[in-house]
Amino acid sequence: MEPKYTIRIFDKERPQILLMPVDIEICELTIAGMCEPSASWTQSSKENIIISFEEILNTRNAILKKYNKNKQNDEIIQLIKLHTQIGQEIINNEYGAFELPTKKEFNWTLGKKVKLLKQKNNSDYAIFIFFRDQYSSTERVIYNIITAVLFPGIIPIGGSQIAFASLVDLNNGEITWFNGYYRSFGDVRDLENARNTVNKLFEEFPG
Amino acid sequence: MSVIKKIFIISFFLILISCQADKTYILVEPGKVEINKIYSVNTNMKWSQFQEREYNFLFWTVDGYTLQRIVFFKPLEDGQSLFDYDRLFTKENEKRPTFNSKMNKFEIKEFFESCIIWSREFTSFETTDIKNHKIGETEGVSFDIKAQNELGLNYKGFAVVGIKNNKLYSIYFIATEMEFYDRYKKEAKEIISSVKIL
Amino acid sequence: MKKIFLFIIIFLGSCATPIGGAKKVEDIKPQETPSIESIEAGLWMQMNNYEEKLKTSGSRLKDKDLEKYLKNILCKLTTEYCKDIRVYVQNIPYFNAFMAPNGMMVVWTGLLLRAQNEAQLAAVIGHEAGHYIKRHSLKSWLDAKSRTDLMAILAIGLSVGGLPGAGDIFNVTQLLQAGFMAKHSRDNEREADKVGLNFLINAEYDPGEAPKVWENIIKEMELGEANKPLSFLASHPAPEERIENLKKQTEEYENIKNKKNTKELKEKIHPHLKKWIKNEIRLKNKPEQTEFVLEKTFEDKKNDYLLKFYKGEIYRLIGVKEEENNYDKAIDYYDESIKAKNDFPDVYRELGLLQLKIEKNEEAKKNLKKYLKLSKNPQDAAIIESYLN
Repeated sequence: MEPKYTIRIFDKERPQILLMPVDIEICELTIAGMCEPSASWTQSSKENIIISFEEILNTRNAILKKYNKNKQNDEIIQLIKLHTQIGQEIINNEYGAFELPTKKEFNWTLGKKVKLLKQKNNSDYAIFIFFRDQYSSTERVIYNIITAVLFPGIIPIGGSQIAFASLVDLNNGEITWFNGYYRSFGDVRDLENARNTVNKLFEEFPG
Repeated sequence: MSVIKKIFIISFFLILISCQADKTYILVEPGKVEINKIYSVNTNMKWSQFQEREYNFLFWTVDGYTLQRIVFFKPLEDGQSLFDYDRLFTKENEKRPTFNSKMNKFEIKEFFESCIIWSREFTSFETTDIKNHKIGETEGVSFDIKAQNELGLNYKGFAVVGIKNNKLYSIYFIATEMEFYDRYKKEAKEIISSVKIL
Repeated sequence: MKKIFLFIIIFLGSCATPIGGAKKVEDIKPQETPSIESIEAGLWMQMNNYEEKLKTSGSRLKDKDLEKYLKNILCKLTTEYCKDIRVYVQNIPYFNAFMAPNGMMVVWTGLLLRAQNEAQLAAVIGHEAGHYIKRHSLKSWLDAKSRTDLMAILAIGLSVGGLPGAGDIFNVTQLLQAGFMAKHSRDNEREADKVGLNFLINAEYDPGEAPKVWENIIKEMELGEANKPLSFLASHPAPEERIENLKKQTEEYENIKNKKNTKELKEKIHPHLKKWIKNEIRLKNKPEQTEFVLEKTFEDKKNDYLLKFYKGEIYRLIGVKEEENNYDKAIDYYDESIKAKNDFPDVYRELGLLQLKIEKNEEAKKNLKKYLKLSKNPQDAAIIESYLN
């Protein structure tokens, strides 16, 4: 999957980028395939992702702003949900099998109501990040090795990532950058690996 | 499973099935358009049209099915339902709402509502403000739509249904309340007002 | 050679996880939260994510007043755990309620439609709180985990022998999102019943209402289609057994009060009744089953006209079917409704429209005119007028 974008550089000197609540869940796959959710991994992964992202913003001379849930209202909630829905349509259209002839160019927008987000959080752009990850417990690694030895060719499930991020211009609602990927390695539980994973996700990010 | 996960799984599945040449979108240019020899409509803008061979309907969209769409259903005969595909559980298929050509104006609105609810696309779906409406020369009704999907995203729209020669004709427009409904409602109203049954 | 391999694997397996991992789980204390490293914290995190989504999801019923009413019942039952539990209502027309390990309680509208009084509601709510206090979800998770790990290990052994093993991705959130309570063992169900009954009696509710909930469900099932598993059955096994146990457990108490409280419940659900009944009828269950449910909803004699009206609706919506005279049945019920109360507008409308269908035009027009007069400029007046001409 390749990133899509409508801008290469920010139109402002030091833009404020609002980080929307990161939707993330990290779990541990037990040997039988049960996905045991890990609060501590999720917590540290979230922190690592945010740190890595902030570092990227620093290289682009942009400032990270955290989302203030207390300034939320019904309209903003609808905006966030609309973004999720648009994200699905972008994936269908840009990365899927059925392309819309009315959307040959990458031009998606949430509409002018994003100004609410701009006002309430004093930011120029908003970034949305989704992250889903599963890690194998040590038992499962052994299981996988044994299976691979006994039955070569069977691909064990485990250790896979799905991620997706988008940048929205809060003056007009346009999605100015979008990227997603799916791969089978990339550990965000420790900071070094998180940096690599986040850098991969934020390829071609403006700035 | 979580809605996000569902979205991804559906999307990646779509990515995987590639060579389906008979199931793509085609571009509809502005002007007078004939739809499957059933309807004729006028439009002032371009649309992407999608027709799934097994389904009873065809839809127009600009940004995507779940953001805004105008749906044209094939005429239904007695015993048929708006959505004829089979659900996973056979008991559910038996409970499909069926059309009866003796239905009155209120019942065809009720039938339309029941079919959409049966399809489980929305977690809540209401119809209000029923009025007399002519689809071309055919007597029928129009009504407003208010809905919400599992994600909690609000939708608005309107529909027209009517019976001609014992067959039910249905067309509806729906879009997300945030942004897309306001953007497309004028054009959708004009399109639906221009519909003639061939 | 194969035998040695099998031994090694079982050895590895038994070192990793003990069988029956749920032995030492104690009651959760009020306002207790798990430490972030624990498995319980992981379950809480997952459920917290689900709860965040449920708050603004399309399936949540938008009535904070009703949710507050249910929360108040909970707090009447247990003042200690009142702060730890949050109650949500989901718009799903089946009888069910469940409790997540993080203190989130969900009640489906199908249950609210069927509860005859507040005592019955309190019985269910108290039962669910019992699951939370006794940490049953954590116990189930640990049990399931230790069992499946061993099974998976044995599966390798079996694979070596030629039979392929299988592992399903198992996720607590998935189960709960499917609307099914994490399945509790019979022992856990009995324990939750005991805790719930204790709460019920201490709050001075009539404990006889607890088994009645299940008696009603059994009766409803019997009137329905055979072999139809209602959603709650998956998570609430053996209702007959529970009725027995509850009655026996009640005998151990003295000084029992018998509060039932019907009024407030009926007031709180009143604004939703029309929609809920429409959704219930839409399920297209056997009419006898739906009639039974409605009879419980409209027990009060002064609502008899509504009961008769909705019974008429059941048969009108079934419509024309083979030899059944559903239209006649519907008209009979509408007539009975009018006899019980002669100024309820909706019944005249449905009666008139139905009469038009069977070509009783004179009477139809009379009834439609009466509808227009009684409802004073309804929205659909223009359409009714078009039928009168």
